[in-house]
Amino acid sequence: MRRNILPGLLIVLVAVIGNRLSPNFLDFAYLRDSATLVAELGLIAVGMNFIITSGNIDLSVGSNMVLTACITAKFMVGGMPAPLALLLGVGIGTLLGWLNGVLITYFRAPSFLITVATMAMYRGAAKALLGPQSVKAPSGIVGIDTQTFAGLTIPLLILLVTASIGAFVMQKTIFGSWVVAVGSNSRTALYSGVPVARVVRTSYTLTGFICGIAAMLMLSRLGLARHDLAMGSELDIITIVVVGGTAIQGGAANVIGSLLAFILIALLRSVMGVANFTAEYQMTIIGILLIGMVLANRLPLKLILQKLRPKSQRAP
Amino acid sequence: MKTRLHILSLPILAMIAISGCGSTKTDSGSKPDASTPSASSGTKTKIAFIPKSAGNPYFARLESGFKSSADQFGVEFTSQAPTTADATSQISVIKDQAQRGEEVIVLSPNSPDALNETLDQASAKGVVIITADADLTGNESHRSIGVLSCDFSTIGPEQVELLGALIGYEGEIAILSATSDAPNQNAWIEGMKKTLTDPKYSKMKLVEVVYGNDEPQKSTTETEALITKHPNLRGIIAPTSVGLAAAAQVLSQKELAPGAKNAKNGGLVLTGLGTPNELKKAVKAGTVAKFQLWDPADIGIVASYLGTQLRAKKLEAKVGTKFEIPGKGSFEIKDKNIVIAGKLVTFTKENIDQYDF
Amino acid sequence: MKRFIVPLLVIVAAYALLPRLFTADSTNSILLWLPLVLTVALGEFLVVVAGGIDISVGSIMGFSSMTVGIVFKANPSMPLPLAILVAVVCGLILGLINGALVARAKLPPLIVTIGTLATFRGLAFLIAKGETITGSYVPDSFTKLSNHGIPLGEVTLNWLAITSILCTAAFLWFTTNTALGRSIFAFGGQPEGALRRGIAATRIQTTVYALSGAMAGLGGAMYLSRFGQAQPGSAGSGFELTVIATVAIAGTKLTGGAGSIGKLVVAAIGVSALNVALSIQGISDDWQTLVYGSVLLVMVCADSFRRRSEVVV
Repeated sequence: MRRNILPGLLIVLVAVIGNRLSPNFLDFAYLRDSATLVAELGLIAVGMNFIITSGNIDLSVGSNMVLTACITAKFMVGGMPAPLALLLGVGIGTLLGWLNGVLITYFRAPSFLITVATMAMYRGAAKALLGPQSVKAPSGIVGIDTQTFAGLTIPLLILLVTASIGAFVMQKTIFGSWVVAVGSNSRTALYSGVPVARVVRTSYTLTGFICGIAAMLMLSRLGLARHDLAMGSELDIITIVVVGGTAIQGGAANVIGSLLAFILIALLRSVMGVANFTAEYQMTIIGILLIGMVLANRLPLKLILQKLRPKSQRAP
Repeated sequence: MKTRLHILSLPILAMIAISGCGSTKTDSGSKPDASTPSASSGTKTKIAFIPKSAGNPYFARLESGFKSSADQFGVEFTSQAPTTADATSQISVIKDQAQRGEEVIVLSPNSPDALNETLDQASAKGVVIITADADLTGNESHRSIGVLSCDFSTIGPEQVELLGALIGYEGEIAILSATSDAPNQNAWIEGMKKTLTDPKYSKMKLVEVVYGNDEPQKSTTETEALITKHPNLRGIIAPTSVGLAAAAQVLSQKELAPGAKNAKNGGLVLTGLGTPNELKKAVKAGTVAKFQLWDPADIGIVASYLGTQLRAKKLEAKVGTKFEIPGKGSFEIKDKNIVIAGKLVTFTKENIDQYDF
Repeated sequence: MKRFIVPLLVIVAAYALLPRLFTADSTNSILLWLPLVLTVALGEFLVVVAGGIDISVGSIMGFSSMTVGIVFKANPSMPLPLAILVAVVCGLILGLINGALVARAKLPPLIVTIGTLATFRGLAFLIAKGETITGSYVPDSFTKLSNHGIPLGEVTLNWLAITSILCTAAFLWFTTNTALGRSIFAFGGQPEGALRRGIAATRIQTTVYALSGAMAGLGGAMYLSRFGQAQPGSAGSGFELTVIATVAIAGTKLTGGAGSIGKLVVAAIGVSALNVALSIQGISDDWQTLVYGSVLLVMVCADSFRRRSEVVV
């Protein structure tokens, strides 16, 4: 838990700075709605935690979400009942994620390259399917992002629940410990009886499943699907995971950290938006945050905390 | 090594804190804060402009219209661009600007339909929504007024005539457009196709429409491919600045323009829509004989004026309403609440030096 | 010869897709693509051989092309070698930043370069100050580098292509005839073993990222010469994928330690031909992404399948 101190502190810092920069910033409804805009990214970050912890990467998640949304919207327009189409959508997302896993484990290919290729393919398929047009979702399913429960919007609640389940699975189940083992050293894991290929495939399938849910949320939020939605979102998602303290080389997970990182980044973007930072500053600052947090995560935190304490309280 | 590392995290925190002071962007007030009391803020209308993407000189010229007229109309102007020009990148910008307390949002939408929900939410907060340069084609009800550059129905015929006159109304021609889903581009291309059915242009044959996505790289490759695929090509119309500049570069490199070294059967003639500064060199070198554009600043001025009037409820967004802008002339709200802000100017070797945008 | 099969397949596929590629005109178009792809791929190749990855090359290209454009705008009569030097130095500096973060701060290369991908692109916007570099600012003598050169019949071997061939020769010499160059392969193949044998890891990693940056910087100058204009947002954007695809198609071992510059050249020709073929074939823009992704996927799978036995997972 100590690893989550820094993101927590940064959240407070950003909130304080935001409040100083603009009196319009600390408005719960606004912050909640702004975070809802990117809730899908936070959601996928939970799945990405498993993939990265197993020592792999998935660059196709954004394209998966877009292709899934496009196919589902197309079916809905074709007359499929909405509940069935939503289920089908989650199924498609799962299938696309599973396909990544199969390609990677069967060909024993680097996950980075396979998912670069499927990133282009999935988005390309969405483009080929819809062309430049957008498909409108039936009005019955639109607007889940505006409905609130206990003060939070539905997508944010789904994110909270998913992150909690993700953290539980990672820390308390055998699957979670397998994922960590594979990411620490896949050869050792294999020799000690971990079904390495199955663990990797399951991580991708799981992420695909979450992509499917995210796609349905996006469809409901925007009320339409197009091939060029969520461009570059894969990098945003990886940023969330890494800022949250999950090791990119694999072997060390922090799902709750990702949730904090999601809040931090959503908050930071809102501050920069309300304070009218130009686009180029926003980009540069997020890039620096990413590298800075990776650097900071390597710090001997115990040592610093000890130094920060007043001298009298310091342990001898 | 390890002890030195923690020093590195301090600059990052400092950077986040400090850069807030340096990068806030505002053009009339000294502070960006919505609530900063200033002598005149009570009477000034707060207008925010959201262009399609950052770093585009076309929108810089459009913004100059807002800035030059800000004092005249009593406007506190600010602008904020999304980092990319994809369909949904403007959603968070619109939300942020509404939260900042902007009273009018002028927007060049990247998508005709992906912003509907967001715009409705901003309208519900009392923000006046105006589109500028591009429109929410098919979804006009989500904004109060659309300010467009010029009468779109004139662009097709004028561009075809411009090219026709240069190639003697005969030969194969092609169109290099921006993206295949840009409503403006498609409306103009439709207009060109319709014009070509006129008997006057019966010997001009449109062989292909290609899309350069408004990227120099793709526009260049598409132009080169056009030239390879159609050896008898006589003319290209590129109704987009990036495309026109890229095509001019290809013609100049391959020396295919009329009179150049490799010109076949009279040379390849290029025309289209573009900003004068981007094409000065090409026009002077003869690679592009003539091209057209409106002055984007006009759009800014008209949108700014309409913003103040709609906000003060001095004007109603209703078809048929006429209004006068001091120093700019009279305008009318036309079908679908569209206002035409300017008209096409043809640039040639003779007049191009008079324009600086 | 057998080892060249995958990269050669790409060329065959491109030509099968489009017999018209055999014309002089198409060959000239391919020769316009080749220098960009090959030059930047050379730098990426070394990084991959050293066991790393550099996905910031597209942003470095963007930054260096904007810088050269801005320098030209301020001083149109600047000598061309100086302009090219400016580009290379820009790239070198950004590459050294990557190198320092990877080699000295010991951060994972993928994360460093995802971060600098955004940061360098942001810098390109910052130095552009809302402007773009248009054809009016770039001198003719500079754009002519991309279509003038040594004529071979109807085909012109342009100066950019010649430059990239010279770079290839230099890289070939560097990797075979210098101790540092050879040590990159040793390091990538077995970083811990190489370390134990006393080869300075920091020096090797700094070198490969600096070289990758410098080559991307040079690529930025080539971009400006080739396209005659540059925008901070789009110049070089997404080029990292083309380059990584090229390195992969060349059969470079993606976990480091093995690869051949000869195959890299063949792969670069293949990728350039494919780019031209897709445009000329008039494969609608809607389908291009799908085709490009599928080709890449087949290549990666085919290449990985050959050495399945080497890898666990």
